[in-house]
Amino acid sequence: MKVDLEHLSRLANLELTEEERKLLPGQMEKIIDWVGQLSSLATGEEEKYHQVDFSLRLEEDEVQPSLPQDEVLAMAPEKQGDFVKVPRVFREK
Amino acid sequence: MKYETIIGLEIHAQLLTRTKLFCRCSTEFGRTPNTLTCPVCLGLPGSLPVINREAVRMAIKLALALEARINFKSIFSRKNYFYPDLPKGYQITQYHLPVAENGRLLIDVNGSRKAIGIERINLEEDAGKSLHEGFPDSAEKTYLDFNRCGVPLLEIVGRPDLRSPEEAVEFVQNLRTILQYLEICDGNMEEGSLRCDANLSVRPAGSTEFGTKTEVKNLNSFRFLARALEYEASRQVEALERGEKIIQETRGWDASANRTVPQRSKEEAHDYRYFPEPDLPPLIISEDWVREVSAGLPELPQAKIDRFIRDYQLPVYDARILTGSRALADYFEKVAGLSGSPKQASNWIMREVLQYLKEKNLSPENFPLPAESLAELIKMVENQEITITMAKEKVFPEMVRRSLEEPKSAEVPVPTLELKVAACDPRVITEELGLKKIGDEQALQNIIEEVLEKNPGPVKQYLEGKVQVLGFLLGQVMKASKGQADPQRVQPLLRQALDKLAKK
Repeated sequence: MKVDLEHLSRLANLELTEEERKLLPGQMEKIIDWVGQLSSLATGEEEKYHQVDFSLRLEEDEVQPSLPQDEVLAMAPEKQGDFVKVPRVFREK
Repeated sequence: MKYETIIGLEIHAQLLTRTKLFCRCSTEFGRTPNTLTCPVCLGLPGSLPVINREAVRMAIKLALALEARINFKSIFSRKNYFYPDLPKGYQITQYHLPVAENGRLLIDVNGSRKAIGIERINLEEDAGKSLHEGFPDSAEKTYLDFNRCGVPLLEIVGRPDLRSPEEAVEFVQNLRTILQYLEICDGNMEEGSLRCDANLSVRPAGSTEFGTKTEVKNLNSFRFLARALEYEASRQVEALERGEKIIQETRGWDASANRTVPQRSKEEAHDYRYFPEPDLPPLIISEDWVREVSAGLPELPQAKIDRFIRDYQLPVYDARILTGSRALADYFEKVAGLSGSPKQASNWIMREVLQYLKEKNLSPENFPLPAESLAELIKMVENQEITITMAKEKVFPEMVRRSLEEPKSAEVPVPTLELKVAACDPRVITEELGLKKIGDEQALQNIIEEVLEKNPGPVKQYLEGKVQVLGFLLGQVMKASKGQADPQRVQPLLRQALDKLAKK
């Protein structure tokens, strides 16, 4: 399977070095082909989405404490007042 | 050339759960920014989502109300994209197998009912809130509040069965009423708890192929929805007439400019690389659970409209307005039952009650006057104890005023319904304000005689054949009676008195 590295790196928000650009496509194609062997398995009529088939545990709708605001904001690269701050999303306008 | 407009709507309804979809952080609106988050909704490493049972129950309710097929096994997927208000880098939504499919919603089109297809209903999580304006450094920075991250949404994807902006508005209105009846979404478009995107295309009338569609976003009120769709339809028609091609794109409604404008697409959008959410096994819904939810469903708006028309002999228009909310419908039924006059109950609610609610910007559940009290007033009018005019202009406003006073007594320190009903008893108010209808014929005649004596000029004119002055004299009698006389009864008595004078 052919890999469009340009497209993928943009989707993943990653900047790649010249070296990586050369190295990665071959490696990724190998990995994809290897994992791709799984598609040849017969899984029955129903498409399998999960490796195990157990029912999900649902939780009751009861509020539990959230993280303290200062702890949350401390994780952000930039903050101001009650908010996390990031570079402006829509630059033009 | 004549064109046909094709519209399909996609609605996001924020669910009224107490906690988020995959964690137990509160969903409360308006709390201090970034105080309602946890490792799960912030997407911190090592955290795992656990589904909120109540959110699933609400999805089942809507699926049943929209006659959709419930998937007893459904799958959550990751929708991957980068945006600062999405800290995980993906949204957990449903893609391969939604919680329900193939439903329908009825709308009224020129008096007949049309079924609009519902393609699918997805359970998904909301993103955080980005604030682009209003800060000193807004030119360079965007501010983020993650409180809304992970709040449960139902995404309702409608089929392109709508044929005009009016039909689209009707669709959203009906869906909103259903969501409110089910008590799963407050339906507030301005606050964003009900959001609407539209796909719109036009094609020559009679054609069976679809034209190129555009997606219109940011339709956050009924007014904007109608205007944006009208604008977009005529924009496309004009472009086609000029021989241009429609470009498939996302456009936003610019309310200040009154037009739709192309939106910058999220970079490389539409390549969301959906894949099944590995942290959540399939969602299994049992038939027993569906049966249990089904048994608890309230009567839905359409059924209520039909019943109001049938059982109360109301016009369609009245039935539609009165069923606009469950609270209003319940209030009407109570007043109708207690007063024994459904038509009068409808009239009072459609005019006086709704006008009051509109003036005070209240929703029907906050109307202060007990149904018992309004029913009593209606009975008084029916029994001719008071004129309709006095009831509307004097007694009703006074009843409402007193009902707001939250009456308490020495024995019962909290306001109870009984105390409230006693405090705004229309009979007491009528008595106190001296508004009792003058039923006594002699009393009426006394007033008439007095008025005739005081107005010799008009009386003379009447006797000379100028019958129009009867209206003036009638007005004088009503005035002298302080409105307590019944004009229906005064008129013949007034004529009699004048006739008597004529014979003299």
